[in-house]
Amino acid sequence: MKKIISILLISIMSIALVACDNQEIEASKTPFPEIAGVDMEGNSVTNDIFADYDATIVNFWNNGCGTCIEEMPEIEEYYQEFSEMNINVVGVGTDSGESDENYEFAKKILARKGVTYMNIAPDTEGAFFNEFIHEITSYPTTYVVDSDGNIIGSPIIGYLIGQDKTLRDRVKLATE
Amino acid sequence: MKKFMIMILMGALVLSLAACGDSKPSVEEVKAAIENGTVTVEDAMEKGWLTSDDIASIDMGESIPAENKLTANMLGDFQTSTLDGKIFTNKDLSNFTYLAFINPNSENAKECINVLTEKYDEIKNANAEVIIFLIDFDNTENAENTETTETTETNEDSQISQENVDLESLQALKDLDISVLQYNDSVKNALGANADMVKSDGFTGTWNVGGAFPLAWSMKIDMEDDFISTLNSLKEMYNEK
Repeated sequence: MKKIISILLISIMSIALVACDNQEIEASKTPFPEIAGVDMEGNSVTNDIFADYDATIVNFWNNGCGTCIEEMPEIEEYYQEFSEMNINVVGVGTDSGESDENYEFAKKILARKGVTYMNIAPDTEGAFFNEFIHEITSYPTTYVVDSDGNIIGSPIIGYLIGQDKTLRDRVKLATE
Repeated sequence: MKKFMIMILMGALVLSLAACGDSKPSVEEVKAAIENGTVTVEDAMEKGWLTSDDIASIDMGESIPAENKLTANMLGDFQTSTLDGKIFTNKDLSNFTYLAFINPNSENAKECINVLTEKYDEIKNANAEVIIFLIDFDNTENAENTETTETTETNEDSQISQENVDLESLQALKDLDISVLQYNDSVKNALGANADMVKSDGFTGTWNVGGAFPLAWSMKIDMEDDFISTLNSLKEMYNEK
């Protein structure tokens, strides 16, 4: 009897220790800011866009960022590929809400690059633009957001094309 | 005895679980998570996993860092010609040059040319330059499928543009001795990814600083634009580099 109890005791402690050792660090989740803006058809956009998808890739670009624009066709390919997995791609043209000219320019860029995923022109009066976008110092910058509207981990800064594994790993984390 | 053993077992289990719950990841594990981008520094600090001393030694890993604005987006080498047929290359650009790409027949371009001519003296006095590239959109589109050829001193393209140019709107530029250049394939190639900015209606412009494009491109400029304050910021940036 003593032997059985001893074995049980050791087993329980071993399992607990192994469980502790295998404990993975949970990814950081930061609420995505309240979106204030319109899409390229002029429709208002809110954070509801996240709820219908297991994850959403949000790519921030601007009219003056040649490299952001250059990689749009590849991001469109991600959009086509990921849409089959219920993962969405959304662009934010950060300066496209600053004037009618910028808005039209952004629309032309998107049309020329064959972009079909949703793009947002932020409302320049809103906190989304003034507090969140203003803090973005490098372009392109990409966030992965889960279906609850939380940013998973850190932003992916720089060309997305060269960070395929990082993007896919982050998307996987968002959908787990 | 059995009861006693069960209590010991329960106690061991509770202690093990409690120890597990209280355990926090090692600094190295957290640093690795931050470096691969799954954990943010703010989150790690909030959870008490890292101290500010730990932060200093973190390599912000997999994200490709933003390059210096004055080296990240450079204009390449080009050769083109003025409307008079003189050769002009990127080496002829000054360190602070406003590059304007215009379709001279567009109303928007005419307004922007007016602004540039009005502002030219103050730009010049601030040791900066203005360069105009003339775009003949029809010819540019047609040229996309042709191979780039060396520009010669008698550039036929410039003759084509001259014929299409609204000379009246450019007279002011000529009077001010602002260089008016042909936008050819060589310039287009030198712009690289930025060439997409040029294909717009009428006007696009931006500052070139020491060969780099550090700022956003504009589709319009007006008299309220403070070129000098922008220039001063660019000069600070350039001097820091």
